[in-house]
Amino acid sequence: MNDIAFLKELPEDVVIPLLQHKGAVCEPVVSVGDTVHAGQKIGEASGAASAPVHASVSGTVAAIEKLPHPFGTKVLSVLITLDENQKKAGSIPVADPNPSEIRQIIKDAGIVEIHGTPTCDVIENIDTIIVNASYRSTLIAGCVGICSYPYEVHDGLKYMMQAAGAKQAVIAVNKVNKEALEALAGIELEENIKVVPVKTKYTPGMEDLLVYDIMGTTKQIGGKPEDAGVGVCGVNTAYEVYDAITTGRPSMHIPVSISGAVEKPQSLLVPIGMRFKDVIEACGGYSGDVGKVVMNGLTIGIAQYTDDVPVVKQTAGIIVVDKKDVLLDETYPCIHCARCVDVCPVDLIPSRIATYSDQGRYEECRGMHVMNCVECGECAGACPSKIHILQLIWRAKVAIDRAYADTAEKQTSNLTLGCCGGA
Amino acid sequence: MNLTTLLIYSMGTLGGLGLAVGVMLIVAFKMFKVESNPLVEEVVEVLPGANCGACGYAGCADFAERVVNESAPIDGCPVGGFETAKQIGGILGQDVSESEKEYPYVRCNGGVNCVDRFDYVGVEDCKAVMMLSDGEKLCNFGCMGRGTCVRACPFGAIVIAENRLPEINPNLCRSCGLCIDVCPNEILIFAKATEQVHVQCRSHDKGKAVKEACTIGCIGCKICEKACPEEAIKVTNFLAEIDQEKCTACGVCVEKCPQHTIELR
Repeated sequence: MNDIAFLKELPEDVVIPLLQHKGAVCEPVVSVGDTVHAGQKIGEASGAASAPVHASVSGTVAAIEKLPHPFGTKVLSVLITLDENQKKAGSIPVADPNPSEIRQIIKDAGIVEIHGTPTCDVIENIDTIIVNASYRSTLIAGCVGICSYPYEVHDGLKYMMQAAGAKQAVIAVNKVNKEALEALAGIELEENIKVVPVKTKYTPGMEDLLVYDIMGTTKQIGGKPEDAGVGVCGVNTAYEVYDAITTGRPSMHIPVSISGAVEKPQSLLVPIGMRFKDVIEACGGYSGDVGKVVMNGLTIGIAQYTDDVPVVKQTAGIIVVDKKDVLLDETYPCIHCARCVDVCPVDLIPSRIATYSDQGRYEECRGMHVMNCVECGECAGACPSKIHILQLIWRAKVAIDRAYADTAEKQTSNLTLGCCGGA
Repeated sequence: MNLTTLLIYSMGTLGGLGLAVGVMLIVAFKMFKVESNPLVEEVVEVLPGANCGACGYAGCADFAERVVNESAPIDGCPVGGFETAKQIGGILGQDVSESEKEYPYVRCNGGVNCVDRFDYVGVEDCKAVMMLSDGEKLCNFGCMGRGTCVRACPFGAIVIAENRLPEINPNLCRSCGLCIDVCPNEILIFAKATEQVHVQCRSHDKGKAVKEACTIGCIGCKICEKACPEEAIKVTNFLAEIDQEKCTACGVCVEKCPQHTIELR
């Protein structure tokens, strides 16, 4: 799994969701029956934290309707039936771009980080860029990238530093990832770009911790790494920035690692919008009974209820779990073994927070700094009683957010002061 | 010093201390006396004492104080209902008119009739289910049946029945409205006992999507709207709504509905 393979055969059709970022759903700019080329813009970004969506293949728009999205809901998507000869939309790279032009190119290319923030937002008002190449093994596509194309990642990072006006950059690589370290040692780095081996595997959502561990700077709870003057981006986004600037191509393909109960586990460069079942088919299909299909890692990934969902910009891995490996145990009472406390990377007491959340005592959860939780899922994985700790923490966070937000009063209720804890 | 003297000394010291403290307490009681309104205590006596917070105040004592001092509504306690309101009115010398009692009504008949998208393993709570891709049901509007309302009810009036829908026991329900407030999908609504005809669906999906998800959901076919002799039914956004003021409970819509969504109680 150390190289990114290319797709031998394209699927018959692709589903491109118009929501592949944190913000609002994009406005479709094509209509049913239109012919689109690979790289043509099909969704216009509207509002904050949004990125435009491009066609990843050329073909005919068969439908624009709500279709299943890997995040579980149904999202307005463009269904494209592929043509036989794949034409690419003309793209002219800008020669020798200045910082504001680079920013515009990144914005127009629709490059999105794995956690959903557009890259152009990440690199605003910062003086340091950290490339997070420390993902855990299940999200290996992000780290394979750095072995396969270290020059491109390095140059993409250079462009991003120009765009942001950043003085320094860091590539954080996991200590055990020897190949990536070798690949980076083989290239000539700029003076202000450093490679830092790290112990922890920082998943999406743990950016704050990464910033603290590398820079030693802290920020307010609920703020972003930008507040500390640091932008965190992924390996693949650095590559995409390089690609967008040198060739003018927008974000169209993404490396995805397919592992688990498939015939040929591998990392594959697939067009955005390819359905999971087609991707798994390209890897030789399922081996054995399918228990679960999980996107992006077993601890924090999202289990899919159908394999009709498409690959989106936030997809880095697809894991197929065999039926006999799926644990559907019931929850037992907490035995106070404190394994969750041992594994917590931000020194919380997950067991107690989970108990409070279960009883609906969200204010106590807040007192125990539940908002600091980075949602890595280690606690729920370590729990021998199979308590759904992460879900309970998540519920407490949602309830606290809602309690402190100015929400409209419900029409049907005669409650005026929200005495049930704002929940 | 013999035993008797010791006894007298210690008794004298302790007794003197007790006397001194007693005098201090009496002085403090007289000097710092808080004038409390006797009416408030009387009102607290007649309130149910459940401290459920359904009135919108921090408990029965708080409500009593606000009724007496800040003109909170006399019939503000939904648990005590008209009887309590009448007693409070008697204490404060005000008249109360009786309003009809309202019970929560479940606006979904999905339950086992609704298709599940996946098997859910996790925290037994509607809000927790809702966080995972809008719930396990194919219908995004229906009741999850995970019992958040059951746990919210201070009177034990709600149970999840065998059809995976909440069932409200009108004998135990005191109309406090806590269940209505916690429901994440706004399934429950207050309905008077005299309001007999109800649409048991909340789905604004198009007919095809509803038929895929549920065998008895409203598909927005408008047959009821045309059939109603009182023009009390209006279909807006693929969902029939009944104007309870115009409805005469004739039952024509209940017979005509092809999906058997409309119920006559």
